[in-house]
Amino acid sequence: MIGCGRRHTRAVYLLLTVIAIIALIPFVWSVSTSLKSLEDAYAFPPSLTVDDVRWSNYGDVFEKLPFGRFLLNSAVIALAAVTGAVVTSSMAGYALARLPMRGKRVWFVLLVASLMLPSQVLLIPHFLMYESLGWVGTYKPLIVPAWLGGGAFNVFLFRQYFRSIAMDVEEAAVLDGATRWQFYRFVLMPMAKPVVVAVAVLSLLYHWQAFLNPLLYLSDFRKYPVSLGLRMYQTMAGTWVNLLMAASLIAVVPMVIVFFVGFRVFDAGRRGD
Amino acid sequence: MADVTLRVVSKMFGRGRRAVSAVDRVTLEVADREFVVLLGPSGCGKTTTLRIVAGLESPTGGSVSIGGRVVDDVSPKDRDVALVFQSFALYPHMTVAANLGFGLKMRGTPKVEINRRVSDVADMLGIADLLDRRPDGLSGGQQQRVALGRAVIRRPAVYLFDEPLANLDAPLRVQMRQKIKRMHREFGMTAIYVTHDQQEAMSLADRIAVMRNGRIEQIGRPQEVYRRPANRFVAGFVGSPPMSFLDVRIRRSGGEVSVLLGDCCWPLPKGMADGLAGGSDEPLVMGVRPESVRLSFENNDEGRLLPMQVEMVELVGDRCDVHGRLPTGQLLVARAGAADGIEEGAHVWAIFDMDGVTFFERSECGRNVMPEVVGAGERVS
Amino acid sequence: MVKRSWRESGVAFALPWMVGMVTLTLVPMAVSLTLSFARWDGLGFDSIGWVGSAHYERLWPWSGGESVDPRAVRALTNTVAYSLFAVSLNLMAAMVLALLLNRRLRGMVVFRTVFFLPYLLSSVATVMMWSWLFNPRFGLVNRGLRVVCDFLAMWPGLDGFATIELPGWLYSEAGCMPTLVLMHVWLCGGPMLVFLAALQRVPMSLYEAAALDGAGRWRRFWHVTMPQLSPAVLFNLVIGLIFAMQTFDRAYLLYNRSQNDGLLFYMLYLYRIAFETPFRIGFASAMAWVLFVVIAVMVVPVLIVGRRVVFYAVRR
Repeated sequence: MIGCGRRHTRAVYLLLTVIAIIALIPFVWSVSTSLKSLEDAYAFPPSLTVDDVRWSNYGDVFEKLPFGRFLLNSAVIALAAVTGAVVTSSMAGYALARLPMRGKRVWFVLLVASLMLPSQVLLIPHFLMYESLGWVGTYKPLIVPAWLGGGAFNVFLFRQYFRSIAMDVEEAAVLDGATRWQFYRFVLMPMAKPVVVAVAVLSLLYHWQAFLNPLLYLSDFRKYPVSLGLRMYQTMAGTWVNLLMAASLIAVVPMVIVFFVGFRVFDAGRRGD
Repeated sequence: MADVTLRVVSKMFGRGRRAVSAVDRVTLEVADREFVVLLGPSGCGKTTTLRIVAGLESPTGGSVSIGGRVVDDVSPKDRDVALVFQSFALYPHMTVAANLGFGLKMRGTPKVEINRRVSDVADMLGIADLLDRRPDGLSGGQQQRVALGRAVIRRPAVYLFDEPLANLDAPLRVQMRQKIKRMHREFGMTAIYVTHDQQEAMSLADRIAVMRNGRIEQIGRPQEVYRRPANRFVAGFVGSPPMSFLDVRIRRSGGEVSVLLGDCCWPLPKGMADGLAGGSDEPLVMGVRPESVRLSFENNDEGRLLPMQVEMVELVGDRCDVHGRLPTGQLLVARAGAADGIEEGAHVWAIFDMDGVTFFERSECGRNVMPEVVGAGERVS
Repeated sequence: MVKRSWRESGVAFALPWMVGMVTLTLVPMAVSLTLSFARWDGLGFDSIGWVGSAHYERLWPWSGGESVDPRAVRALTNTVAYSLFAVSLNLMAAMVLALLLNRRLRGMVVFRTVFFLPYLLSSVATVMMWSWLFNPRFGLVNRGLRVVCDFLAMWPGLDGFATIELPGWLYSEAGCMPTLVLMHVWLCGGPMLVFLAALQRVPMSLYEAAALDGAGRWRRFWHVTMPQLSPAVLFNLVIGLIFAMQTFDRAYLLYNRSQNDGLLFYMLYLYRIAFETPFRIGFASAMAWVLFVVIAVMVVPVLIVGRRVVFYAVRR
């Protein structure tokens, strides 16, 4: 920006720091609670400082409940769903962006329309359908839809990006003897890396945080993903608030890592263009 | 290697009344190992013609054969052709080596073989030290070499070039032009090369096909096209600075044929006069190349020298192009030595080397009326 | 012709998505619409009975009589009010942060990360943290407020502060909405990134041209930054509204504990109607369609106005 004087800069830093401290309060309080014993956590008046630091709480998270299992379940569901979403939405985006096909205009209108359709309209029919298929109690309702298009928004994102790529590269690949599939696999997807990463990271976040669908379709707690598992620290035999905070903090770590890596790749990919 | 034949090939874009004809009944035969340049202004259909040969566009009429085989139903990858794009069209995420080897990889060539050929081609094009780099880190000239290498490595039957040098700086363009010419000589490649740069066409082509509005206006060896343009369009497009056109009349008296322009009158050489059709006093357009005009400061040959007012002098190294205006108001471009001392605003006298002039009809299409030019503007219908 | 086999390949690529489109969107839409005119407990098809538009009349507050479901109306007003406040404040916070962060200074990445961090928490974790933070007795917030009040009470005339009752936040009917709005403001990291990306695309030359034209800081913001930012504003606003109107996780997690009707969100009520005894699948389907219409009524005008106001830069 223009006219960034030194005094101005200092004011900006000050403001940002104050906001950052406020934004971090919930985290700080959670960390503090996660290191307390249960009695200290429920002591009155509450205090931010911890007298008796209990790192063992973080181990207890995994012992009181199968939290490792929850993490693993989440990872399995999210990875399976994200793979499907990236593969099928990019394929559909490619077809809609540059391949000849019958009734393309109608399909595109349907895509845009489904972009605006709120999911709750489909909630009940989906449940009835999965129930009649005998899929309730399995991961299928959480994973299979991702392999059937993986969300209108992702399809749309890929379509827009593929339309912006110069036609020449595709023709060069065709003359090099590549089939459509080979072009998609070896040229188009590597070229679309920033979008692939963006879609993958966003849908990973979506599936990692998903709550309503697992709640509807899973009843056996050994199959629970993290989002449902976390709630058990609250509902089982009173609240283990210290463990609950520790588990909440553990659950966010994978997403923080994913986002950091994602940012890296995304920035590098954009700079490379 | 193979020959290429286009038979009455047409291409319409759009349908019904909105249809636009991009290529209009083009017939062209490219012999084995021949280098043919399609030359024309933008929008003349030359690139579309090339893309039809490559199979990237399907023609709406006519047929294409390569090496004696009709390829109308053959997909681009099975036509055994390679295309060098104006934009280079390199795969941005692949290294130079991967870019070069991609075509071989897609065709299932063994890895060892790919590596060997990649390094061969890289050596030949002088890009061996760039093999691990990516296209965005290369200069325009380097990218061009990679694009060239990607075509060469497959040893296709036919090479197609779509304005491959248009994105390069002038000196680099000359250098790459020579490179392509050498490659043509060494491999004996069959090539179709599209450009709008007549100089490039002149220096590369075995034969030039000049195109306008989707049609081939003339096809012939570079000298032929230059010396005996089929019509005024070709005459004006080929050559820089372009040919000057002067309105003249022909007079026949006895066996003598002479050309009249203003107060001047020049007899035609015997050979040319014989061939010139038409009656006496016929209006024609005389085309004069700059090098067929001689300028002097003195009127030392009354009745044969045209007075000319110099309007602009463009220096081109040791010579200069003199743009002037005749008393009739017509423009004339002459070539003179830089040391001749001709300055803007000067009055000079011009005379023509009558062996170097051509005559055109004074009609819209301006057909060449010199009889040696057979097949000029001829079309198969 | 030449590329017959290619012509088909478009369908081959789109096939999984097309199958999904039909089986997961078009057919379910038809089913849902049909069910909204029926009474059904979801336990066997014999029990379906047609009721015409009765379900919709129950959701129309002006239809009069006892047929109206007051809790559904309450849920809808709660949800609309929450969405309007939460989204607008969330976007304002996101924009302010993006403007502050959009400069080439050291440490901006650190701030960006801090502001984005809440966005990475799952809704369960967010709710757990906030309900603990705002716990009226054991939470840090009321502890802090108590300290401040005690301090104020030491001054003459202000001794009322010593006995003042602190807010119940998420645990009270009046306090839960404002707390949830505040929580949504805390979660502004996503829109912030969208704004930041849009800001970084604004060409420097525009600011330089404006500065040369004598435009001050404020004018540069209105005439250069805002027009360039307007597509991002429209995007965030529409997406934000659509998602806020469907708020479920937070409401479900908090409501289950407190049964506080201030937390009765529309989606929560719909869920309870559909999936808790007596399963009223038909009524829930009608509720879903009503919500769809309400969202459309909110979003479509935004899109229409946005189309006129938003400035789209010509690409390339």
